[in-house]
Amino acid sequence: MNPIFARHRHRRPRPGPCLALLALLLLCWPAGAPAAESGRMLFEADSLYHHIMVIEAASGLRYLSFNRAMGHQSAVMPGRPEVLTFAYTQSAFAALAFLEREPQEVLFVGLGGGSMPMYLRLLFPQARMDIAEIDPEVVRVAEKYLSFKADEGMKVAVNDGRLFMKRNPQRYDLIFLDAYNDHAVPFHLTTREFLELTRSRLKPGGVVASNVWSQGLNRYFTAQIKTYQEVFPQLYLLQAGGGANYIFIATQDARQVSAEQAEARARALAKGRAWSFDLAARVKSEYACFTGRRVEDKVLTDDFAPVNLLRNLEASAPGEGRP
Amino acid sequence: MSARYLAWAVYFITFVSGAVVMAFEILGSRVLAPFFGNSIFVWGSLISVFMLGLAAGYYGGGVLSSRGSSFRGLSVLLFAPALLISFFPIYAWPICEWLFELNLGQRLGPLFASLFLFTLPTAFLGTVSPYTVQLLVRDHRLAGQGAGNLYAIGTCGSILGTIGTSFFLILWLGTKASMTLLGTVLLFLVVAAWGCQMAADRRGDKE
Repeated sequence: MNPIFARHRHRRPRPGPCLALLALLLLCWPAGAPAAESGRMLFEADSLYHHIMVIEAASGLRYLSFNRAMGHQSAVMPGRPEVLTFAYTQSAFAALAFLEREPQEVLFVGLGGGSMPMYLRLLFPQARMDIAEIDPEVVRVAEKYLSFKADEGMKVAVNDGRLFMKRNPQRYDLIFLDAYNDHAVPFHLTTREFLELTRSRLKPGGVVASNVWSQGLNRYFTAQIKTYQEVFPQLYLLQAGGGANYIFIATQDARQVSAEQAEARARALAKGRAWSFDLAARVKSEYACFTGRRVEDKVLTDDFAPVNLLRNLEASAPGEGRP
Repeated sequence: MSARYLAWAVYFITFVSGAVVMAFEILGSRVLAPFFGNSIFVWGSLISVFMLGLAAGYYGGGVLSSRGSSFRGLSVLLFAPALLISFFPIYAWPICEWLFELNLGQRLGPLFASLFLFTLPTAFLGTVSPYTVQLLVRDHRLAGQGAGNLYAIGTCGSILGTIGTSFFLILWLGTKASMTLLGTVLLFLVVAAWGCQMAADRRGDKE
């Protein structure tokens, strides 16, 4: 039994405990990210899609938030890209351990505070990046407050991620999908058709890393696993820091990468580069292979993807066996 | 069938067609997203085109009713959107694909797609409320009351259509099957309106 699901096997609580749990949840919020120390509001405004806030903590760390009630999207120490705070951003870099070469072309769907592109540039200065971000205000805020700066090697397109890929035949070594909010998932970025499009934009041997937020085991989560399994030959899940962010890593390889191989590769990547965290340790503690794990759920398609409804339905834990 | 039953039939048809309008709009967003994304432009286009269709329908329904309303006329007005929505899954995706290829930009792409796909069915559905006022009200002093009732009931139907589709239908059926269901519901209304015409004719004979 994989440790990822050991903790989710409880039944749905009754209303009483449910309310208590809700109260507890509100106290513990945000679950996916460390709570910001109380800080100074540097910026607050409504954009087309979000209520954007930039909060500076006493430590100098700046947090980007899209909603008062929810967790932070991003944490950036201005001018110091080596500070990669959130567990999920660290786990997302584990994708590099599944790529058998250095990344040359990389696509990010969703900019957030830009901490991941900036960190990637620090480690692999030669990598060319495209970033698709739907909200122009997010780009402006990242540039003004979070020391993000787009340039020739790090281009930003203000566009829907799916449309960007549909319009641009460019292929990538790595595609990071980080467009799934904790309170609303854009359904058209979850479906088989979308993942097939994403796969078609990968170079041979290329890797997709997707940040999926799932509090507990709900049917959106299991359906998303099933959909990845349908489109990609290999799927790995990393539960970032034991929290509610799961990094889906999908590859086109016929071969499976074992935990040991991924760890060895992470260790090799660490040589001669200024990582600010131990990638190999992260890979070792969070690696879980989901290729062939049986999941009782439907594949999400453009026709059927009620993702925000499925999030409220309890799912059964994936089995061990082959589908 | 008494006049009271016919009045209830009018309310029922108005309620259901109000529900279909909003169900159609919610489903419309699911059709557009794969081609035009989930941007604010998609929602803006969709909503404004539905308003355009309804405005045209309200006007057209009013004009038609000034020449005398009948259940027969109502069933014809409902038959058009019943066909358009029933066959929607067949023509909508090719139209979206074509507009995507034209690459009109982030604003005009979804706007034109909405115009092509949603104006006509929505306009026909919009005719229902003003057209049926006359079926309900013979005494012109009660016209305001009748219109008020119909708009209230049609809008209640819209609430049900919105909630029902976004909370349940897309979970149970998915987009294409839901569209087909809406078309089928409208066909049922066509038959119901036709039945009312026959009932009204029989009453006319007896009187």
